[in-house]
Amino acid sequence: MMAKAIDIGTSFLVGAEMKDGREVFTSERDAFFAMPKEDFAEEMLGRAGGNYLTRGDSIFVIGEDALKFSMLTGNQKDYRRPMAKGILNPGEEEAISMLEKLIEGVVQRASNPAEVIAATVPAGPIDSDLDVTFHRIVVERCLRRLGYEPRIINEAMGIVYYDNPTTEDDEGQAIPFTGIAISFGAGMTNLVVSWRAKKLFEISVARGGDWIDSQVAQVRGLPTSKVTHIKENRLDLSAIPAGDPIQLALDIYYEELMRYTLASFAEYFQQSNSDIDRPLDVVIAGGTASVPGFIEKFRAVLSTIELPIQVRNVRLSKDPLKAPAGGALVAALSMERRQQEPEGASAAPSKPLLSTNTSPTLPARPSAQNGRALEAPSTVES
Amino acid sequence: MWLVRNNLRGTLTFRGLEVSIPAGSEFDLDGVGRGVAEDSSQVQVAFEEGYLSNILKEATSIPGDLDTPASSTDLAVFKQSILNEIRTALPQNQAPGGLTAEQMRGELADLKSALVGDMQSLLGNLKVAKLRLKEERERVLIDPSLSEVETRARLAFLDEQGSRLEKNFERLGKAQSSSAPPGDLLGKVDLLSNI
Repeated sequence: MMAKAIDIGTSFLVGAEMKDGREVFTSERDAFFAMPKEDFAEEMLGRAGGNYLTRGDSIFVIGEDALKFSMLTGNQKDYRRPMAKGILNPGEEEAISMLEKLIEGVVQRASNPAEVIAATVPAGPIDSDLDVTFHRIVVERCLRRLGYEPRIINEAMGIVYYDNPTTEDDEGQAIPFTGIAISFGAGMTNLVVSWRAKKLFEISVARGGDWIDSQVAQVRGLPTSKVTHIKENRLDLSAIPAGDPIQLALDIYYEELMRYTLASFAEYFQQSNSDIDRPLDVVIAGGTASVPGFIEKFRAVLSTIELPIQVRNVRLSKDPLKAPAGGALVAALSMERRQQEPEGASAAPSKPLLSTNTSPTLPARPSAQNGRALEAPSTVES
Repeated sequence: MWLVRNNLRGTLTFRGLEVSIPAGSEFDLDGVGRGVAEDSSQVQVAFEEGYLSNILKEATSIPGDLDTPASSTDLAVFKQSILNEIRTALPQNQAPGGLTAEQMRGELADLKSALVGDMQSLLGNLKVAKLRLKEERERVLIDPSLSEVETRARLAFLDEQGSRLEKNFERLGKAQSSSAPPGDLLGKVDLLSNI
């Protein structure tokens, strides 16, 4: 079992792999701090144990250390991010080189030839012309250079694989990996509808936590970093202090993000002529969804919007920050196992990785009455 | 033949090619193989910077190409000579009586542990190497005996060595085990694989 996974987010990279029978997550801030190369700076960084790399006349402090260095020096201008709005930052000349170093630092080189790694990417946004294809190719090339056999999955599908929402068939049997997953990230919000692990529908909007911060900063005339700090440390969407204009603004823009995402979903799902007649669970993950009170607010907003799919239950992921990476690891391990199966063995059920049976009983394939969206099941999405 | 001249006042050393050309001397780079020499970034830099100049570069002829097809007799003789060499060499490399599977495993384990030790030692030496490169760079910059072109040559060489040491880290991130019950994730892998 060598497969790995990585969730490449705008704020954090999260790697996932199995060690001694347990999943281990490695997270690193997706950022760097650029500074001129001076002897004292390099020595100081070295003594402090900071992670950095040098190129030409510059030093690039990498990951969490970049944020610390930015805060220590009070210099926010040179605190930079390789990603913006869910994909490679088009305005950042060092985006590719820095992202490659960060990815290598988190997942290391492949330990055997053609080791499978599943990496998450967003869906193309409906409200922006951001190029997801270029981002995807850069990620694939980087992982190939590290010796991996990359597989790309939608980040919201990672939530489906990790949290395993289910619905029931006509006989009352659970249909696994079936539901709606939404990843509220820093740069984007991604939504998928999955049926038996098959992605039926995907959508993304180029709004997320960063959008909330910048909107609030704009209307309140504050630095964005201050808004981010308040959001991450004080905000509880179920208890907004009446006299706090910043938290009040955050509450308004959180609600606006939820409403915009759900309205976009309703509009585009109807256009796709898809039809699902069973109630589905909604599972939510992502850093932006991690603030207290998020789920309650989401339920309240959802109750005001007419969706084309009946919703049975809304819940927060078991681990909102790690779900996409954890689900990508589920996909990677499954793909790796299929690769290792002898030819002709695919028709038979795979040998379980666990000796005890923790899996629900698999239902029969859905019938035609479940709608046009029901296609042959597949564990590997495009 | 690919004859080149060292234009520097010092010996030009290509460590990747195991070649040293004394000051002002000529050297046949075909001796290390035309393809190898042409692909060497060190040689390319040396030409670009003017440390090396071409005296004569003959077109290469590939033995056995379409113009001079090898006869089947030539091939048979060549094959036989290779086989003879292998048969001669084999008994010298084999332990008396051959190695058992257990002995082979033991030797492989020894080799592996030796390699691990070497790698750890290598990582420890990286910091020292970087410091030495920095010191050498400072020395080259103030050395009055070096001409401008020699100084550039040495700095280019040091930069090439230094570029391999640009990172001060191997791993990034904070690792954390999942709080989920053991087997929870593998259960989902089973489920997904069986759909």
